Amino acid sequence: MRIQRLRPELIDVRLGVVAVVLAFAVSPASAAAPPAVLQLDLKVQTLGGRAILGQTPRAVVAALGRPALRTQGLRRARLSYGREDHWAAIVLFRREGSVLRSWSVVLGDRRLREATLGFALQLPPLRLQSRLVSELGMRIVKPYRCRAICRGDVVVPGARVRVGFGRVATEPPYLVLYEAR
Amino acid sequence: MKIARLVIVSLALCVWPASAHGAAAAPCVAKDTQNLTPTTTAPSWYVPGVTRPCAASSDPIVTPQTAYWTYFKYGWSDAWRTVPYNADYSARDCEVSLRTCGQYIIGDASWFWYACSGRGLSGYDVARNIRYWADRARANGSNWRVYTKTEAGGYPYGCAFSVYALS
Repeated sequence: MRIQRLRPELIDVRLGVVAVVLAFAVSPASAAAPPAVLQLDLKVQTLGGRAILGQTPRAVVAALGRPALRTQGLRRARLSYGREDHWAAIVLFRREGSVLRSWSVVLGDRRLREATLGFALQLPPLRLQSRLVSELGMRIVKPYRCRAICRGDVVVPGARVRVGFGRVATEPPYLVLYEAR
Repeated sequence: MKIARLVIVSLALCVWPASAHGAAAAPCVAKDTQNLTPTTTAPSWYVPGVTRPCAASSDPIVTPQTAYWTYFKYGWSDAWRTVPYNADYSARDCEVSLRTCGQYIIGDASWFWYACSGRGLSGYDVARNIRYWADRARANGSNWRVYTKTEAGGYPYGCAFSVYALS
């Protein structure tokens, strides 16, 4: 009888301990994970509804969460989201005056959703190029073609922003949104 | 018969010096300021430490301040450059560890390793290529530097090297 009375209490205590352990074990991982599906809007150059270029590292972390990898030097910095062998997003910073500001964001998650184009990274590259021109009014500055790597670049009219897209070897396709110098 | 022998001997004399010269002359890294397309590997005939510049200029007389390559903007790309002798040091670094040598070259060891190993390059391959371009810089003149760069927008980094002249 005595044992039977104590069992439910012990189980509760054990469950509590497991819950606490799991909470500690899971929270750092979820904090470093990339956003589930990134929403890009090339017209206004936002990611997840927030401006992504010209931002400080702190602002980018506030928008995208804690990166899986952070590399920082005196003049440059990089925040990487996702897995090392397949980054979902990489934000590049360069020093402007005394402040590091984001000037380029690389997106490599095939689930990326662009406001006008939909799943942009699931489009064949030439199709992506033609839709960037026809639907977003961009101008081709470097037609897509494959040499050592496959790459194309378009420019956003009226903005100091370009969009590069392509793929390297067998890696998944990528799209890079970057500021003009 | 005598005429035939004379013809054979003459032919042999004509051919011998050329073939002997071809076999004996070791290739060297020639001055070339035109073909500067960056490469990820050195030519097959290049042997590090053996193949030399055909006519090398001396390395610029400067006081080494840092082993780090100098960051600069190259069009729409990020780029890094250094003098030939520092490139040789980096090559040695890459021979020892491809995982860490990129810290001095592009200021980012993990990205360098990821980019270079992802292209199937070993530390030896990368080192050999850097040494080749260091010799190209030496062959071209004292104002030439070894550089490496990203694609436009800072991505991707292709682990390719070349040389350019400081203006």
